[in-house]
Amino acid sequence: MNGTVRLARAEFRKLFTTKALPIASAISIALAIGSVIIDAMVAGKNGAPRLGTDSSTYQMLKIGSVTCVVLLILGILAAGSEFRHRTIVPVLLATPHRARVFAVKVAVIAVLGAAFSALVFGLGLGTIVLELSAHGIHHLPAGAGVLYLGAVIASTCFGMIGVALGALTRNTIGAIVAAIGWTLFAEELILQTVAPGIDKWLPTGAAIGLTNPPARVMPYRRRPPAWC
Amino acid sequence: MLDHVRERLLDDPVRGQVNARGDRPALAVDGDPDLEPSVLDLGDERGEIRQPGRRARLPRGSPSCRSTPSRRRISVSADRLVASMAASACRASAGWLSITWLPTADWTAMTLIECAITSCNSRAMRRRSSVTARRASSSRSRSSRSARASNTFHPGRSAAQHLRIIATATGLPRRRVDEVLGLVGLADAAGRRVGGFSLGMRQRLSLAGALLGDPGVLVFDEPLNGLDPDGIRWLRGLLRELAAENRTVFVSSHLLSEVAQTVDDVVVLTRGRLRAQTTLADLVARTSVVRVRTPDPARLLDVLAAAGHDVRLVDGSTVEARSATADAVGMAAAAAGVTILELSRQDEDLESLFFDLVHQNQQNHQNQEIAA
Repeated sequence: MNGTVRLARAEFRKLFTTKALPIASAISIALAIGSVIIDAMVAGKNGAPRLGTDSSTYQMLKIGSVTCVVLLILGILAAGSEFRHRTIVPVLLATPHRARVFAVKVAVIAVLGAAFSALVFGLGLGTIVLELSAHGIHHLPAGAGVLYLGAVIASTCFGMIGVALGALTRNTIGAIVAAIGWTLFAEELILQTVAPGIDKWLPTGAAIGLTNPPARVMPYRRRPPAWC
Repeated sequence: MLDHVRERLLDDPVRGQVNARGDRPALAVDGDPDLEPSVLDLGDERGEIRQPGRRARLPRGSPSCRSTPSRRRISVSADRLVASMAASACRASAGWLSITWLPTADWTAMTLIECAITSCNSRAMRRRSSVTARRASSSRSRSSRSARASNTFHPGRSAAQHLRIIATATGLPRRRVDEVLGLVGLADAAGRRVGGFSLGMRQRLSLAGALLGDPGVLVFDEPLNGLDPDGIRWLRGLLRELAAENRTVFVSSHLLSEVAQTVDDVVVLTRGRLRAQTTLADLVARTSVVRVRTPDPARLLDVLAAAGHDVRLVDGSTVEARSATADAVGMAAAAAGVTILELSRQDEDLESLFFDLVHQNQQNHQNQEIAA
């Protein structure tokens, strides 16, 4: 069997033999379904769009950010824990090609990220369909498919960024704190205010562009990404 | 990559001189009966290959040497259990990692490149691990495959999962996992999380990982650490069994008393230099002394000196003879009619031998520095 394929199989086995993946899955699914249910409950109240309108459905479809953050953390754990527990030693003893090892790790996280985000978004979308059906609404906005694809792409990219961060910092806790801090605070709060021209080109800005509905549907959105 | 390294080594003029002297292949991994281990005289640097002022031409990705490296061949036959003793753990480990690094063209010899590694930082160790693994994974036959035990595990995985990951990455069949777990006595704990393992169980799991690929050369760094007395006895027996299966087993250890009970051959490294490579029995025999208590020590001194023994008076009634057997001393005394009250052979323990070699080397080093 090809060495790269063997390595990829070993990487998948690693991901499925720790608690990180089941915990991440449970959290993501709970947040995705929970946010849809909460959005449906508050629809039409306190100035929120009425249930069944495109704006309301798009609001419920903003699940992509959850999978982005979860995949970012999973990527960091996948690479950083190898250094934290020094399991990188047997890995490199078995496959002494550093570049190949990390390329495969990135590829595996990308595949896993795509499947994971597709599953979580799919469950969220299914919940939305059920929720709308319960209220006699049987249509989804035209951009739902694009958001689905955008969430998958953004989550996959965030997983790959996570692997890079974990491999560079070799410190899982530090990398997770730094990544969350950058994503939620540095980019969202500081750069957006101080340098909005730069912010829209950065990862979070890009992810927002991919996971949020188009500006014409939700004009109250704070900022578009650079290419919108 | 390895072919390229081999070619460069074979082109090496210094190495060529050593080969021209008729040195035997260094590591007879196939257990060829004609290839017996050579023995270095203590203090003799025969076999050392040194290239003053020249950096080693190392393959890409190899650890960089911060000073001039020296190359030495370690001569060990298969089915031998070898101990490495060094003045520091870093040097011992570095030495072994290097040993598994540069094989000869026919895989019958390995060259130790001892780099002057000034620190044992993790980056350097990682790079060395990587280089060692390249050598290990490039081998196809068992005779030329080597393995270095690695005792790093994810605490959340079970022993079986840990080994399955290694087996998957290296393309080994899953049944090997069960086999090696049974071999190291962890079959009952296969499903338990490694985080709950004792140090001894981790050592066993590390050993299982090294045995997965059925290697011909095994390298262990401090394998006795953390083992209880039962575990030490078990490991001693297992290492002996592995050596008996026509493997070469290297053990790098600072537990000299344990090593003395286990190994066949000894390699002593000090300050980056090969101080001794010999059989344990030979090492002990060379340094053992025969003590004789007699009512007439002056006469016995003359008799033994005349017989060519290195003798000295220990106290008023005891004479000590070096480089002599008890039989020879007894026969010489009997022939001269000297009364013997007590005659005994006293072997120096391995720890004392090791420190003698280390101090001798340090003294030589200081003398060289003064001369320079």
